[in-house]
Amino acid sequence: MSLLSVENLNVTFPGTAAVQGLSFSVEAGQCVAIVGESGSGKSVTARALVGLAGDNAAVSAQRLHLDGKDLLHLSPGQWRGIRGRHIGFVLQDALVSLDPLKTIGSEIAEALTEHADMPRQDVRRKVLDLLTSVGIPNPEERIGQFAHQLSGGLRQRALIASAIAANPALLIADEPTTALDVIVQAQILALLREMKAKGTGIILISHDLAVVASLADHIVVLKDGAVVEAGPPSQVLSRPQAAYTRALLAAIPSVETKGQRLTFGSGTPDVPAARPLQDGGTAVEARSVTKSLGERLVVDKVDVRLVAGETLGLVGASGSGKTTLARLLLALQQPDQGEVLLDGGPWSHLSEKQRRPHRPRLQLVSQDPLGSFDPRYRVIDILAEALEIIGLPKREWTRRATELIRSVGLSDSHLLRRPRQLSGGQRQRVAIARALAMKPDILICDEPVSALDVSTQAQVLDLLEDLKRQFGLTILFISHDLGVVHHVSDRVMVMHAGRIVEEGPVGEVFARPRDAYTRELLAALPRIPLSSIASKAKGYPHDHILDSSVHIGA
Amino acid sequence: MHIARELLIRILAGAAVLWAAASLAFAILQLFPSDPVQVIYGADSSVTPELRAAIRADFGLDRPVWEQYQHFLARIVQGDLGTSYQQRRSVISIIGSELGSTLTLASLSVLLAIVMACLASLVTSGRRTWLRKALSSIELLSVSTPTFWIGILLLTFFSFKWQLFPVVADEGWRSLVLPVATLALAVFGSLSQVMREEMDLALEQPFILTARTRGLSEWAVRWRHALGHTLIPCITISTETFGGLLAGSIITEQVFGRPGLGRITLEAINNHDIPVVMGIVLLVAFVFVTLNIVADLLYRLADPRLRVSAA
Repeated sequence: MSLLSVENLNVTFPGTAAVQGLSFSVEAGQCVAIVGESGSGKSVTARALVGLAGDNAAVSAQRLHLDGKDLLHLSPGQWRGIRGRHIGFVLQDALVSLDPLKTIGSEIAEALTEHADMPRQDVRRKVLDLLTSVGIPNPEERIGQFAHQLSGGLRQRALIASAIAANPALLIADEPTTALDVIVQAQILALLREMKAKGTGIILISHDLAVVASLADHIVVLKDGAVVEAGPPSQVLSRPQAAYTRALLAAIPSVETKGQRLTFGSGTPDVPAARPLQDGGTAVEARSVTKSLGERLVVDKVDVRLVAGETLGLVGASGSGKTTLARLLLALQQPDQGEVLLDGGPWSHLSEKQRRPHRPRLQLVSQDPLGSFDPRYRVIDILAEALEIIGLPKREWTRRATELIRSVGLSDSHLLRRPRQLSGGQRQRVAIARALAMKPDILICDEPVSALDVSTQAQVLDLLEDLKRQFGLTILFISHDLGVVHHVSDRVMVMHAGRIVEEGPVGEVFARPRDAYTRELLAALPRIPLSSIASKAKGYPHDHILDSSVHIGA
Repeated sequence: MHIARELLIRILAGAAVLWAAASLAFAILQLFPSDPVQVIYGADSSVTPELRAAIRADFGLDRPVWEQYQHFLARIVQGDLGTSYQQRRSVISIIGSELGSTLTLASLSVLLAIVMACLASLVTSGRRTWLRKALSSIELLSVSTPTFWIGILLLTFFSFKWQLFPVVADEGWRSLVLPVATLALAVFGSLSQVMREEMDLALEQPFILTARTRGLSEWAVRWRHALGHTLIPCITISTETFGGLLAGSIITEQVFGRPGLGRITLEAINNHDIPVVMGIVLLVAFVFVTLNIVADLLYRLADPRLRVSAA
């Protein structure tokens, strides 16, 4: 008998069917991965399995059994006995998934005391045990701390501890590593693997095939609420049947995709993959810049030279100083020491008034542009504002805005929408269009695709590559995602704790990393068997190299 | 250590505010001079010039302005707010005799309003029920109705019609019920609106979903997790209104015929009893400065993220 068996699950909201005909089963000690993009119904499925799909959701199924017990007709009180006790639930980003006003100790204790009467000192001892078992050092100290006092990795571990406190047989993890760095992500995946080995059944929900590859025994690919493909990883990842799965795999940037387009079926550009570095002179240069924020040294004697026409990748974990370095290059902040030069002339040493005429030349594309748009502006107003700054006559605005919006692959009708009426990918395109409106030479992209699904990410990366060719842009591409950086960059710099620890041509750094931290980063990357990449790239199976692996973006 | 330093800075800043309030009040009084002789003996009195001079000297009014100001500040620092023109008692004792009554009224009202607002948010947040609509209407009504009118309505029904509570006078807890209810209802309106909105937001947060996935009941989710997130605006509004009630429950006190700061303020202003007016101005400034510091300390208690991180 399966631990959980789901047959023909349907979840509908008024007017829309979120999940249709989903069937799968989870055995003890097994992991089922549900993969899909946002809006595919994967999170709705997770919530429906704990009876929390929402008041306006209608959940039906032919069969929904946990350990032989029917979950379909439970009263709210019976559901409470299931949640936490029999099914544990882990959400993404523990900073918002743990109550910021409670200590992690009391959050974990809550899950314990809800399902069993326990003397106080026993609760404390059990919480300490749980903290130890999820790999949190100094549990005696951590037990009294709040979520904001912990690092992202420790927070996520604490959240997992609270989910497994009452020892549930099934754990549902909804994007448990999405907000985390690769290294921390690898640690959390290892923790889940350990729990799987101890016999816990796991449902892993993710948008990222590479993340689930290492853990899943069975993969279900969802699109628009329906299953497009399901099977063991050896089939789904290596011999995908559905076009959608192939497109998802193709969209993952990696070593193998370099110089190719990520959007499936759109062909490869007719430029050699490893473009020789043509030295077009130095566009922006930072000379031994140092910057402290408060008492923390964020950027520590960093040298950057951005060569005209190249894409320079900047990789590092969150908090490594990448964004501060970008702000220094943009002269939005002043270095404490050192200097930033533009075209060999002074830049950081200029006064803001002297700098302003040159500002259009350097443009920023940030992670989530929503915050940088006035919500009451339409797209055309957003672009017009930029066009006004560069002094384009008013009668030209509409024509130029139309031109820009088309160049980023959107249609004229998008000009009349407001930011909230656009999808994440469309918003990023508008942000790029706004940057292009200034006719920049240099684009500084700070995690431009981190908030996007893998296929939307593929479209935006392809777009950036097209625009780079079309307008001869120089790009500084900042990302924590090594796969993405490898795909787009000519050269790469690895940043760690405010310093550049390694720098070089991207192929060389990835193939022969010299620095210990770079090696750690690369080792932490989730992997997909090489054959799937090769087959989708070349169109024939490579079964004889199934064992070898490549690094895939996290 | 850090918090002690911050507290010291706040207290010094508070002292500066008090000094500014005192100086401003003093300056305004110089612009609208008032003659204590007239206040004490009436406008048409025939006081001999000698007596007038003696009285003025008694109050220090014959000195140059600068000297008066210095004297005035020195007295305040020593805790002496002067002597009433009218009653010939020290201002401190006048305020002190009335403060207790107002303090009781204000604190009970704010406390009752907080309890009602918490209950209202706990019961109606995140739900679209008839109860929510009903409570919203009551809040809107209480916010848009003048306080004295609420008081008169309560008096009409509970005292005159049903004779449950006394009409006037200060006799034990029974005479407190209606004035407290009046003020609490007024405070409840705005407090509850803000707290419910805050709880609505909190209930949408992922950590609430996490709490639910632990098997917590709806009540436990709201009581243990959501309520804490409404405390910051609750503290802001409560401390501010508490200060406001101490300083200005004049109308409510009049409607219910209660003694209190409101009454002596009114009398002092009507009678041009300047030392008492100044005393009340300083008291109000002191109350607000103190409440601000208290609110800041309460914020830290309510939200650990506002405490200085140990790391």
